[in-house]
Parts: sequence; structure tokens; C-alpha cells
Amino acid sequence: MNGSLKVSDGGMLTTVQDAGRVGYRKYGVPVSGVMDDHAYSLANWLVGNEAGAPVLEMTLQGGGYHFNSDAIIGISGGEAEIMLNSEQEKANETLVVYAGDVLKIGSIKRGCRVYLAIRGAWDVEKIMDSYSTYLPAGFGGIQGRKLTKDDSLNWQIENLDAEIREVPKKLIPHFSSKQRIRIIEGPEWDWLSEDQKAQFLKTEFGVSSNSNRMGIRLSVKKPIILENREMKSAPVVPGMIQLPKGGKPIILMKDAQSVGGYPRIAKVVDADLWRLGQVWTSNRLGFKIISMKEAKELSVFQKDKL
Amino acid sequence: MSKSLHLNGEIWTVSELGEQALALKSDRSDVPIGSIHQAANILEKASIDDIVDIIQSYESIVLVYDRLLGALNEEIQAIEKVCADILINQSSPQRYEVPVCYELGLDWDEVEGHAGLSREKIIGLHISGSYTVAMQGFIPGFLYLSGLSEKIACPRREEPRTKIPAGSIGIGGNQTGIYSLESPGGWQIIGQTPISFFDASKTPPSQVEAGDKVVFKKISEEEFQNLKRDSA
Repeated sequence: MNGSLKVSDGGMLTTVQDAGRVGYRKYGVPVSGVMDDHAYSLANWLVGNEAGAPVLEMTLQGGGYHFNSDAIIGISGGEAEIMLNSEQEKANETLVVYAGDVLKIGSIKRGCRVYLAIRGAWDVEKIMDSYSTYLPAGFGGIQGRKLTKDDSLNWQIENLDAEIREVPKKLIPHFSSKQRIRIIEGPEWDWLSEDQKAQFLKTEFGVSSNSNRMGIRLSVKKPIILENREMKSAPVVPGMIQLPKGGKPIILMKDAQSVGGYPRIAKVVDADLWRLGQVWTSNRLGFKIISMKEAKELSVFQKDKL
Repeated sequence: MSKSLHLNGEIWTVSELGEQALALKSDRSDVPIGSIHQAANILEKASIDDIVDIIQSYESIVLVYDRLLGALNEEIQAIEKVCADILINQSSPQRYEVPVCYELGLDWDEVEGHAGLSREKIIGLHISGSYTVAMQGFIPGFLYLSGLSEKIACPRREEPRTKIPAGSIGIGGNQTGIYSLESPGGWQIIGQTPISFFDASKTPPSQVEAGDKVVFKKISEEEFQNLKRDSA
């Protein structure tokens, strides 16, 4: 069966994303993919899609969707008002929608990204093995751009026999405005003096509105200025915390380049990276350093949980 | 924690760059970029299990896995074992002749001022150089080229531009580079090429590999427009 919807409101920044694009970083192609992997997995699970399926990632604001056909959908991530026609609906539960229904997702009150999964195989062209939209170079997803009013989304679905699922409470995150993010040492961690290390670990950072899918820019009253040392461009991965000359750290996210020229003082542990996909300017961030062994254990624990 | 790995006649210090990536750094502080390219080439040919991305830069190579890393010595042994059977690629690197219209440069005043040379002299030095693709990155298809004459090295702009046209040729410090896509950027732009080295609709998106050679050829604005039209 064919299914489709028409976008009645594209929101602020809504893109098609998936688990990411691997294998092309040597050409300077970032991994991209969803900013919040946890919410992404939940949304996909709600509709019974396989891991790696595409979703819509909405940023700060939701959007409006007119369904032309019956569909099984799942919404997860940041907290926003969800209206199906005139009924209020819940996130983190499988929803059944019918042809003619209008889904409206309001502004995101807690967290900053909401994910919409739709059961079926989406008619979106894969670019370099991935559905993910990479805006800076304009490829992937819907013509390499964000969704706008009157865009259509089409999919193929085998059947509409929905298994209604509900995300267990313990898997639904609490979006606290203050977060302590766990990190491990980066290659240039020892470029910080002992005092600077202590300062970094006790500072409560703000989040700049210049943040985006490439990186979360932290704001701080007292910048951490490193002694001037020559740094040759070196490989980076998402989660890496760079410290540029100005002394304000940047946490690299999914659209980050593969090579960077700033000292890599630390890296957010993989198990906490999804949390950063939900932080915005009202958040305060602190860091706690842990060992690589602990970081790996957290990754295993997180996989088991899902 | 770090350990050593022997590869292509070099000793590499291996450390974990996070839970799923290994960084290989040569023990030589002045390791030639060619050695990095050769080692990366071997690692690619080896198609080591679970490695999904190989990123190379000036001093190091990063191997990205799609799983958590195991014990460092075991990972190193696995790499050495597979790589031991790989022969170094003896075929010569690709050579690209890149036509450049220097009239389309945006930052001639800065570059001339900094070098203390005339535009013609700078173009002459830029064209006479033979360059190596050191790496790609920053934005898809951006080619970092090493081999720029020190006489025309120039610091990056203090205020990066928010938009640089696709095909722009820039100077950033002692490197020159090619912006394959329109993007923001801080390099001093001295010209533009009508050809593109990146096509997202193709897999792989580029034919250019690190280690390939690039030379520049001067063209007029008219030739630029003709070539641009032909490739459109």
C-alpha cells in the first residue's frame, strides 16, 4: 500500500534523519543523522520500523502534517503539545491516524527536538547509503533541505495491523535544565593546566543560541584560555569537545566535520551524547570526567536498556 | 593508555579516540604526509572487520569502528595481522590539472599586501607549484593541498566569509585549497575553478583521494564561463 502526507507547517527546522552516514568521512562527509539517538530508537520502536529507518527531526518547533492515508505513527523526544485533529495525544505511544487527519505538534517546551516515525518504507532517496539531510552541503533527505509547507512525504506499507506500544516510563528521560554530562579525556586534555582542568570541571556552562547540528557552543563568564601552541588539523568524532582560542568550548555534534584544528580537550561519552541533542539555551551544563572503562560500560548498559 | 603498532615501516602510537575509534600517530614528529597516505592506503585495502571510516590528517590516522573497542593490544594485533599481507600500492597517484580564473579572486588586496608581491608574481608562484592532496574535510570535497610556496603563504581572514562560491581557490596559512561546494570559509580567495570535485549523487562522491597530485592552470574569465557552461 502507498501512504502519504502533506506538510501544512514545516516548523522551524525539520529534516529527514536516520542513524547516520558512515564510510565517507575521508571525503569530508560528516556522519549526520539524528541528534538524539535515544528518542530516535524509541520512535522507531513505536511503529515497528527497523533500526536505521528515517524519521522527521523537528527542532524547537513542531509542525503540521495532513495525512492523505491511514498510518501508524510514533512521536518521541522533547515535550510538545500534540494535537490530532481536535484531540490531544501523547508522545511515546503508538498512534493510529486516518486519512484526512491533521497532526499538529506545537513548540517544544522541554528539550529541543521531537521525532516523528511513520511505519513503512519511506520514498526518500538514499544519498551515500543514508537518508540523513546534511544542510550545509544541501544533500540527503528531501532535496537536501528542511521541510516546508506543501512538501509531500510518501511511503510503502505492507499492512496497518498496528501493535500498540507504549514506551516504559523508565526509558522516558526527564529534561532537567541542569545537566551533568560525563566525559573522557581528549588527546589534548593535558594542554590544560591543573588549575584549568579544575576550572573546566567545576564550571557550569551556558548554551549559546549559535549552536546547531554541527556543534553546541558553550558560553562561560570566565573563558579558559590555553597557552598558544601549534595545533595541526586532526581527526574528530561527534562528542569531541574542542577549545578554540577564545576559550569557549564547542561540543561537536552529528554534522561536525571529520577534521578540526582546535585542541580536543575531552569527549562526551557516547552514552550521554543523545542528551546533548536536547539541550538549548535554557540549559546549564557541567562535566564529570570518568575513565574509558566506565564509558564503555555505560555504552553496553545503554544498549541493553533499549 | 597507548601502545605501539608497526605499519609500513613506521612505528605508530595507538590510543583510543573515544569508545569506538583508534588514533594512530607516527612516532616521528616530522612524519612526511606521504607516509600517512601510504599507511592509510594499506589500512583501507586491508578492509579490517568493523572499521567503517578511516580519517587521515597531517599527523595521524583515525580508525572508526561500528562497535566498542576491545583491549588495545588485541585490536593492534588484529590490524597488524591483516595489514602484513597487504602490498603497498605502487601505482602512481592520480594527477589533476585544475583550471583557475584568477580574476575571480576576492582577496587580492590582502594577499598582495601580505606577500609584498604583484598579483602576476603571486599567480606565477601559485601555478608553478606542484601540490599534494593532504586530506579532505571541513566541508565535503574541500581539498587541502600542501606544497604552497612560502612566499605566498597568507594568514586566514580575521572574519570568515559566510558564503564562498563553489570552486573557490584559497590560501590559508601555508596551504592552498579548493572549495568544491559553496560554503562559509576563512581562507583568502585568489581564484575560482569551473570544475567540481564533489558530487553527492555519486557513490563515492569524489574520485580524488588523499595523496593525489594537483597542478593549476591559468584561464581567462571567458574560458571560465565556457567551461562552466559545458559542465552544467
